Amino acid sequence: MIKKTYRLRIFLLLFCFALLFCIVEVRLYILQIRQHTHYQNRANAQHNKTIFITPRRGEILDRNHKTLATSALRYSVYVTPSLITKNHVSLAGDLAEILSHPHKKISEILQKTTARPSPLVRKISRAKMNQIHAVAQSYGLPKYAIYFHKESKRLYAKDHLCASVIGFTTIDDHGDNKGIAGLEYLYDDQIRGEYKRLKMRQSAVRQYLDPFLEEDLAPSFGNSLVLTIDKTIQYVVEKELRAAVSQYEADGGVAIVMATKTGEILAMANCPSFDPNEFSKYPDKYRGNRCITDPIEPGSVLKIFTLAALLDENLTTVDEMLDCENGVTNINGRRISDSGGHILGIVPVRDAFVWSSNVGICKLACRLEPEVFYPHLRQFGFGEKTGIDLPGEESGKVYPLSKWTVLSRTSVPIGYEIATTALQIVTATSAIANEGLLMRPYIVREILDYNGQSVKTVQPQVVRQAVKHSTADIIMELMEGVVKEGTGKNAAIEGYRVAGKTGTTRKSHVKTREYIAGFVGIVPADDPTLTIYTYIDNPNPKKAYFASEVAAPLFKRIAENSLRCLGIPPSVKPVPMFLTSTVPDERPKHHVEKSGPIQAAETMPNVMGLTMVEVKEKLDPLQCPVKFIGSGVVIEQSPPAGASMKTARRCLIVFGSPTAQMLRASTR
Amino acid sequence: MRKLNTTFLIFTITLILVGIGLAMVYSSSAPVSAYQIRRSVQMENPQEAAQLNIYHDLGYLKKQAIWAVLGFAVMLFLYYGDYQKLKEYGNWLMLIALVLLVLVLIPHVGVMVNGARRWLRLGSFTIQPSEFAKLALVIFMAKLLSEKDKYEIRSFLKGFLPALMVLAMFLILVILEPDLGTAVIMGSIVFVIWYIGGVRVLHLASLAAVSVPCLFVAIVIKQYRIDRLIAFFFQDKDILGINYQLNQSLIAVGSGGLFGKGLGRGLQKYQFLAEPHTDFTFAIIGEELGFIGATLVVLLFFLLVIQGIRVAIKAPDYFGGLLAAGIITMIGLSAYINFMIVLGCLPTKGMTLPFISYGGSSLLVNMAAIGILLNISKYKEFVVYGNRQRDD
Repeated sequence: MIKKTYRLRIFLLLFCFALLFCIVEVRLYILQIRQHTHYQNRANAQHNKTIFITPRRGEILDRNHKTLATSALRYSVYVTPSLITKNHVSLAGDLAEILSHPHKKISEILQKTTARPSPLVRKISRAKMNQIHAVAQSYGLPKYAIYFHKESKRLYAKDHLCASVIGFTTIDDHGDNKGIAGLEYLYDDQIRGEYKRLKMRQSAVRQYLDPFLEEDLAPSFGNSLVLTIDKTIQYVVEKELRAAVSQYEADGGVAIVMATKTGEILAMANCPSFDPNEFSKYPDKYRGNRCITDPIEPGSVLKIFTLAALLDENLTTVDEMLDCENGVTNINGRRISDSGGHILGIVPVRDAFVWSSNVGICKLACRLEPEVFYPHLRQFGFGEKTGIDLPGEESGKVYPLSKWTVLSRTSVPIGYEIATTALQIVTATSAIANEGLLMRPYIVREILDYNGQSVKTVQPQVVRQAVKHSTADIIMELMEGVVKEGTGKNAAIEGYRVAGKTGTTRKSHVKTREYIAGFVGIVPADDPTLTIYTYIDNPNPKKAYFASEVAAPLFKRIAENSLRCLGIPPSVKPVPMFLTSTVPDERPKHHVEKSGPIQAAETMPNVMGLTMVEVKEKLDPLQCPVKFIGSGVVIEQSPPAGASMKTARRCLIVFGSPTAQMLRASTR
Repeated sequence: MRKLNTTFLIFTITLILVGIGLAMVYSSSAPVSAYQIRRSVQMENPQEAAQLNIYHDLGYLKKQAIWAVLGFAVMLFLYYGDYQKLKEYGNWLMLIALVLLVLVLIPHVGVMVNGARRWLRLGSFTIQPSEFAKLALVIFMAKLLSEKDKYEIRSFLKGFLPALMVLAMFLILVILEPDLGTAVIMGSIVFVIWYIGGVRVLHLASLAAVSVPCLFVAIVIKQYRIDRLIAFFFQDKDILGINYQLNQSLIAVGSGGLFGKGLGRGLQKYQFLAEPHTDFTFAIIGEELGFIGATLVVLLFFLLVIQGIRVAIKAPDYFGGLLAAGIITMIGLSAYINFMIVLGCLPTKGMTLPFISYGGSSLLVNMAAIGILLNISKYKEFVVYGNRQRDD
């Protein structure tokens, strides 16, 4: 009987277990199948987190990667007035003290009753943010009574360097990240950076379970721009320009320094300028980049191109004798006179140019039919945009042939009735110095990603052959004459060969006596490296207004400093005494090959690219007097490497910076 | 079913469950262990902690693996031994268990965790005497009941009262730890053994009637027990914030769906769910292996229970039968209660899932119990029915 009931009880136990486990299964079914969506949503709500990554605007760097514009992290303070219920006055006092803002304004915001958050102050530093946070805590305010938002603030170089080129930004949802002028505007897409939302999974202790992937983060970093601008030169140019403008009590002035052979802009300055951090405080006309936006009548500077056209068409030679009629004549019923005190009679064309004779050039220009002259001007790029990567460039004005009058034939050749931007003048002059090749000027040489890896490199670009090579060389010679003996004497720099041309324009559209004094020049003339154009707008005529007195000295100071910055050594005229004989080494070759140190010293080693200390070591065994010029690394040596030292009595080693060497190297 | 050898089935199911257990302990404990390491480093040296990138750590898995090997050895040892010897040692086992339960209550001997002294330290390992007490109690009760004839069993003074006294001692000691949950389980297991052993239903019913007020008193004297009960019965309004764990458990299971998120891919173990590797491993199974995986585990336990019942029926003697029934009740009931807690059907209470949850004592005791079960099933092959004591 017990056996029977024992089995019964055991089976009852089994039955109970079956029932219990069935309940478990039913419960599992309800939770995992029926209510799966509900629980999945709850799981997602606590596991998934979207994080926002504030974009970091790319930097703007000069050619040596020195910073011109950068972005820093700042904080904006927001308050929710409805959450602040007491101590309004003392809280406002504390905040006003930290922020150094008027107490009244802050307390007005705090005493509102709305639940909508309102901004208290934007773009404060982290230290101040921490102070405010501490104050909020000490008042025991709830979480969102006072809270902070990260955003970025754009910071520019000291002295507002390069302001008109770089432009400025305005505030958007994520801080200063909307370029509205200059390069900030033109390359906004590149440097802005993306506002990213990242979907991450997180643990209950707020730890991200997914790694931050590079491809997710990278887009929020804007690319950086590497400009062709050299910060040091830019600084010098701006300083000198400012000094000149104030010295001559002028309205303003511009200056451009361009690498002749590549079209890179090394400096571009406007005076007066503005502070890009507070651009709204300056009038519109100060904020523009007048080098490219304001065409002027270039005056005598244009004679370069008139003469180039004449020579190109074989309508004259530099040695042709020309009657300059002592500075006054009448052509086509119009009185033409020379300015300045130098009176020319019957002189070669060369002298007419060197002394910038209006009479001489106009007489010559009469040989040019407008149909011939006009295309030449266009060849040099006048009347069209240079294509520089800056916004707002003007194309200047060259009247179409249909609008040319009789008077135009004597106006245009000496730079009136034609409007050119400063950049056009620099570019066209560079073509003269560059064997007639017109380059496209550019200002951004490289775009870097956030890692410093190059995204895009800009190469110099030839636009066209603007003038024959031979003509260009002749003009260069003439321009050198201008500085040597003509109107540009004030631009001469000791130790360097300088080519240039003055240009004094009397503003034709105003009644009063107003002038623009300009000077365009190339240094060194024997190896054109820099093309510089500068003009001073409306210098006080009582002080000085001739280009030769106002612009030429300014050019000189700019050029001198730029050459020094780049480490371009003075032009060395190889004197025969220094030179080795060019007679080939007649000794048998094996003699040299098995030569020991003493014999090795008998030939000149290659020292190019070495530093001064290294050169000294290397040349010591030669026991030959050595003359060092300049500083940096060796960029020239005489005698050349491998030459015999038997006949050489002196060595000449010229030092300079590698940058200079790079600029001097032909890019073709 | 007849064709499949019971011994083989029990052995296989146990190994599968231990295997699943190791996998799940790894999956669920790795983030926990790493988190604890980070926390401890952070306490000492906050600077260093910032650079600490530990997100997975095998500390718990290694310990569990050692216990599993130890448990396997004990299981084999008991399988090759003779369960009849347990009858002789029954009293001693009971006394040792009692001594351990007393020891654990002594300050500095028992390790205090979260306000309860439940563990004894042995080197770098801790053991939980109440787990051993469970098995000792099952063996003792099986011995006690099998030694008495049916009239003694049915009498109150000679049969029921001594057994009740022993049980009461155990329960009081366990409740003093305090560990009411284990006490309830212990009581339930003994209750079942008594019922199967033939104790009068009247006695059992009156005992049940008495124990309900006792339980009520035990709950009322501790505020947190009241809180937990209130929280359990009013799950919608989480007045006391206690239901966080319950909700996290339900989210884990519910978000698993039919197929689960995949082994190791669950997210609830990242500090959302407390104790994912011990009491709430089943929630992680539900999350990572889905309805299919959870059902498989439930089925394995049910299959084990069926096999245990078969052993109990076919056992060569009354002691063996009661022992087998007690053991299978112990395992089955623990599993069931763990499932129900995880699925939100019982108040949240620390209760390990046999073979699967992290916990050395539990694993060792359960594997030892399976060893005994295997041993009993071995003997039924050649012992004749008629020799059973209860047939007298």
